[in-house]
Amino acid sequence: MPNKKSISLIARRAPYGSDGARRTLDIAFAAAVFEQPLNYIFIGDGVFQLVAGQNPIEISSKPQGAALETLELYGINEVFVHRGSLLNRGLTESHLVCSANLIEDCALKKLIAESTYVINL
Amino acid sequence: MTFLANTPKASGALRYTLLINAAPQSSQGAKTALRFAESLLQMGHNIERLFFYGDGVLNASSLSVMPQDEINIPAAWHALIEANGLSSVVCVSSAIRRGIVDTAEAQRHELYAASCYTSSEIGGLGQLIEALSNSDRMLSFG
Repeated sequence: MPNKKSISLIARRAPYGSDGARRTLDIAFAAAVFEQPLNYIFIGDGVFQLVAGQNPIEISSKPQGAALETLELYGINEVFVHRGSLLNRGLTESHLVCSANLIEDCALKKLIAESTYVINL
Repeated sequence: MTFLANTPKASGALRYTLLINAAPQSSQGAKTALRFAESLLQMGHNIERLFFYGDGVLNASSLSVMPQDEINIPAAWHALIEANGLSSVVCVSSAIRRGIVDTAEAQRHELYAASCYTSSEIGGLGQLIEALSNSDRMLSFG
């Protein structure tokens, strides 16, 4: 592929109410296979996707958190969690399945502004 | 349409990828995407690829039937794609979950009918990533 353009993927939905979370993850994996620079940003209810100990088998769904644990194996290291969204939901970094960079409003704004493409699912 | 007065010269033409997530019947997003695509072409821009994802794959259904006084969005997409020779890709994992299959997928899964317009190709997310690397702009609908 010719030139590399960066993609910011914004995960803003809770993991099981819609297929948005899974579809965002699928794009992340595809971008990783093509070695496309990628920022994976969790904001709003999207932070719930990263919470450890999910058991959605009871509601006939596959665990989203378990899939997100594998991001590092795919070389997806630019994972950002919006600090305010986490705090507003009574969560801390210790609740999450993987290590992530906590990001503040200003830095997030800059990250998005510097991306070639933004995909918001 | 007044905005046509601002039609750019060919040199200012941009390449667009459109990511369509919206289903044709339950939201306005698909209609907006269709009108946007038509406008891009009228204004002399290029469409690198249409990529239908999630519920958006229903835009490729050749089995939709609409009342006579309502627009058939999938048929309109089909006509636009054919008339302009556009590249149109329907995400395979979204599509087969929703019953959008071409003849090859129908045979593979032993289904009795194909439901995807032949103007669209059933493909993978790699084709979205590839299109993005060749585009100037990407717009997401729905």
